[in-house]
Amino acid sequence: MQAKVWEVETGQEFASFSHSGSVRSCQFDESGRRVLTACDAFGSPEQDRPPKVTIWEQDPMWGEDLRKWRRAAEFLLPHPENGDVRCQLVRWMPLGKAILCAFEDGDLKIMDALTFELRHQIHAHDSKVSCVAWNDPFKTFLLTASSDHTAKLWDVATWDCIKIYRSDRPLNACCFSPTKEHVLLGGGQDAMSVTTTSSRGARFETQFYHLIYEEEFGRVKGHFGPINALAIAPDGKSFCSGAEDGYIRLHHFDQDYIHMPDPVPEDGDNNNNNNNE
Amino acid sequence: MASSSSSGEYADVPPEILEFMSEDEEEESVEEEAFVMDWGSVIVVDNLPKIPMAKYEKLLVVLKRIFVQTGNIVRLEMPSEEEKTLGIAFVEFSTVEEATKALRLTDGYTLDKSHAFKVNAYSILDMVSKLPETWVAGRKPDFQARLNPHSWLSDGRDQLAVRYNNETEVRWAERNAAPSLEYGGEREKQGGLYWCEMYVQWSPQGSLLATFHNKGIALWGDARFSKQGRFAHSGVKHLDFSPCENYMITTAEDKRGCVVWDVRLRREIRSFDLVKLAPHAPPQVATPLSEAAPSPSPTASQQAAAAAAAATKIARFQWSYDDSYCARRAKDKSGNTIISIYELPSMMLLDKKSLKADGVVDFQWSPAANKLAYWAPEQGNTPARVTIVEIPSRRELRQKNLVKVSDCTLYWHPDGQYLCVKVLRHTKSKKTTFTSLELFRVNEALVPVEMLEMKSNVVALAWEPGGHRFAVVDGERIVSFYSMADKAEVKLVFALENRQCNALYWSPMGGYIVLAGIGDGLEGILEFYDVDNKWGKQVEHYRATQVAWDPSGRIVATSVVQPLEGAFFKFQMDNGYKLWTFQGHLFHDSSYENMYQLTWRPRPKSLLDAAQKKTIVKNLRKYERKFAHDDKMKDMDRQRELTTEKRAARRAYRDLLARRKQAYFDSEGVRTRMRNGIDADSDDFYVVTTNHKEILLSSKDEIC
Repeated sequence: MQAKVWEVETGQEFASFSHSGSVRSCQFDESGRRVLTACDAFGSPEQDRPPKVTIWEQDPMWGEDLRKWRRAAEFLLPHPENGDVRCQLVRWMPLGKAILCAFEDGDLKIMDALTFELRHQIHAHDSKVSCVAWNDPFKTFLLTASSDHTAKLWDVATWDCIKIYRSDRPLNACCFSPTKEHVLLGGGQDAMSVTTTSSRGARFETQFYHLIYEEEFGRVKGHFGPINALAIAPDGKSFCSGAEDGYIRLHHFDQDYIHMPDPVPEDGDNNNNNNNE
Repeated sequence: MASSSSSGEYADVPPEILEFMSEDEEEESVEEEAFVMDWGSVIVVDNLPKIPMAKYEKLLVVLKRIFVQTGNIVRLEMPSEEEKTLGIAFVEFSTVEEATKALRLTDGYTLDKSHAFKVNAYSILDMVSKLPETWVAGRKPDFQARLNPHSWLSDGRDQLAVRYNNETEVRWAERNAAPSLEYGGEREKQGGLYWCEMYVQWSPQGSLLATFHNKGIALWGDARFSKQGRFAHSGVKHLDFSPCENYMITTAEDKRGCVVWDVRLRREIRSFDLVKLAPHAPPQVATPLSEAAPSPSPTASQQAAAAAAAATKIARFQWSYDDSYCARRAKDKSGNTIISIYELPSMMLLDKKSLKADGVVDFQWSPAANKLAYWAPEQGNTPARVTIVEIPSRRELRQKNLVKVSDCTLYWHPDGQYLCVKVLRHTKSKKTTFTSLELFRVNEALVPVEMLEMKSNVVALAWEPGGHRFAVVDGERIVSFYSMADKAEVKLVFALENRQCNALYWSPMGGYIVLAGIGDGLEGILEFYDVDNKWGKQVEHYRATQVAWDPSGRIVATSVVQPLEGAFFKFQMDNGYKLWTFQGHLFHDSSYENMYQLTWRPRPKSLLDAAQKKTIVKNLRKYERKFAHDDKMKDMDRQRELTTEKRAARRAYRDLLARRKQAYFDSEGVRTRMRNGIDADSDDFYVVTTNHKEILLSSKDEIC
């Protein structure tokens, strides 16, 4: 029931944060000196170990010693109307001004990072929100993937849902392509019920969707368990997927993909050619 | 009186169903309600013994004892005249509910042999007394123009109905395009209802769509899919339209059993108990179609209905081709199975007697004439026999005796000119079985019969619509095509070996066939086969459960559907449908979390005769050019539209992104401060170095 800070180069442990329950989610903010963590409730209500969100800060803020951290703030997870609904993940909103909490029932809650007041509540999905991703570095749009077989794109300024990507499987992972107007989605049938169908029926493939047209245009197979994590290289030339089957698969895109143009000719192109063929 | 007025007819129908009755009845019930305000708690009991006043007290006690069981009696009066009661009583209860209860429970109560209570609400009496003495002709309702029920036929495309999640949708299917929505129950949704909670079913000629509800059937039609009528039958499970759509039969496992309705008058003609007959043999090789899924061709749906009837052990009615008769198996008083044939529209037994068909196990009407074929197994010394009978003359056109028969299945050609009987025979020891086909040429004089020995059991058999051929899949995975075109004998045309196939679907236009390996344990291999040119294409729809041709033979829909109740877990994954051209080119794919049904809207029979069709085929070139051109224009229009849409969407997205990005650039100062004065986004912050490394793996000098 701890979150730890490690040095990437050496693998040395810098700090360890104790929690009252198992830690479900953690994230550094843009300064790299503040960490957000969320832990589950633990034991019976009498034990009084409720689910919490904690902010940890380097002490002092820009000091030399990276081993020294302090608990800057802590608040109870904002889902009082139903204590059984677990928080799936917490994320910093841009500039660390707010905190995003995603819940098992498909709700998103945006909390002020200073006052911990609820700023927005969105019923984003009908089922568990399993993954969120930002269009880095701008963080203007948020992509959410859910077990309800859909992923949605949100305009963070207004919280309007601007795109919906419909899949045919529960989704566990999503990410933006850094170089193209594409999104990658991964998932598959729940690990619990996988044995009831053949591996072909369970669909453990990475799906490629066009960001704007919401159309699926490709799939990459290979896993034999549901995909839980997806990441695409910053140069957009390779991606990797991690799955319940215990494998991380690293894929390099072929030239066809890297040079693939948008299906609709760009405005600059001579589009008459295309229509007359 | 009670039986002739419509309110009396439904007197025993609970109020929640009354609400579901067709609109015609509604006005009356409103009037009643207004009156109930005053006299609702009073009932009138008629048909009491007429007694002298001396016995008055005694009867009063008896009556009180009866009515106190249903509620608290406020007053009980028996009017009398000349020292004798009139044989009626007024009972007032303390509440309306008690009165309604008494009405329900005591109506028909038998006091003694000659006195059965006739109980009515006081309001009825009041209404009757207010009736004028002379009959005044009612005003004829004004003519109301209805929307054209056949407008959909003027569109060149075919429609399909899809049931998925909570949605019911009718869509237009078109080559190379996603099916476009025609109506998805929007009006019902506005009223906070679902258009359909269970299954849907098209009428055989496609003019009506029936939706199943807990309380009964609703019919929808015309250009706007407006309501054409409601038919109350709670718990309805099956619906059998007559082929010309004049009548329909609803079946439910309640006390009304089967109800025969006049579709246009929205009226019940007659109801029957369910007759349960033990099936003679185990059901045939399971058809991969789900029970409620109607198949494209009329014979296939009849067979599916027959199979379903065998499975539920209920003798279902079957309609003759022109709506003049319907028939079902029944038992006479001595326990022999017979076929009861009813005449429409009276729905009375034809000539007041059933067709003696002792031991009949299954029968099928010819799809094109008032003939029916039935078969009966061996009984003692009488051999098993297949008989074709003409109705109403009851003349036996042909009887064929067969021995050592385990089971028979009847397959009529859709045009009614041939009948194929699949006969499963056994050897003397009954240990091994083999199959043969008995082929009747029904339209020829004396109905010649041929026998075709099969090498192994027959998995599926299907006649080519509009042709003379039939296809058979046998147990050795061979698909054989036979032709009856030669009047002398049936001939094997050709055979395809090693096909993973358990079901055959001919195009409704003939010539093409889909060989499908679908259902439990099979992977959904489909082969689109051109029988005339012997050319096929194999494709796959993983775990498909259903294959359906559109009625014009242009598009094939394959789908993975789950039943609404029962063992659904097997089919829970991959629900959805795919659309293919008749040559096996996939052009559309939809997937849903839960999909229950896909059914094509049938078309009425073509109005062209054979000669006219021939002329069209002769001039095909001319039409071909026109349609090919139209198709191309349509494709181009669609492409252009799509591109325009996409371009607009892209512009909107990029504009939004540009606007939102501004906020990111504006907040640069804040971000830099957050990072302790370091602008991590600035290019100056990074030093890009490129390193080249050369490794010599091996070197070799060669002298040439």
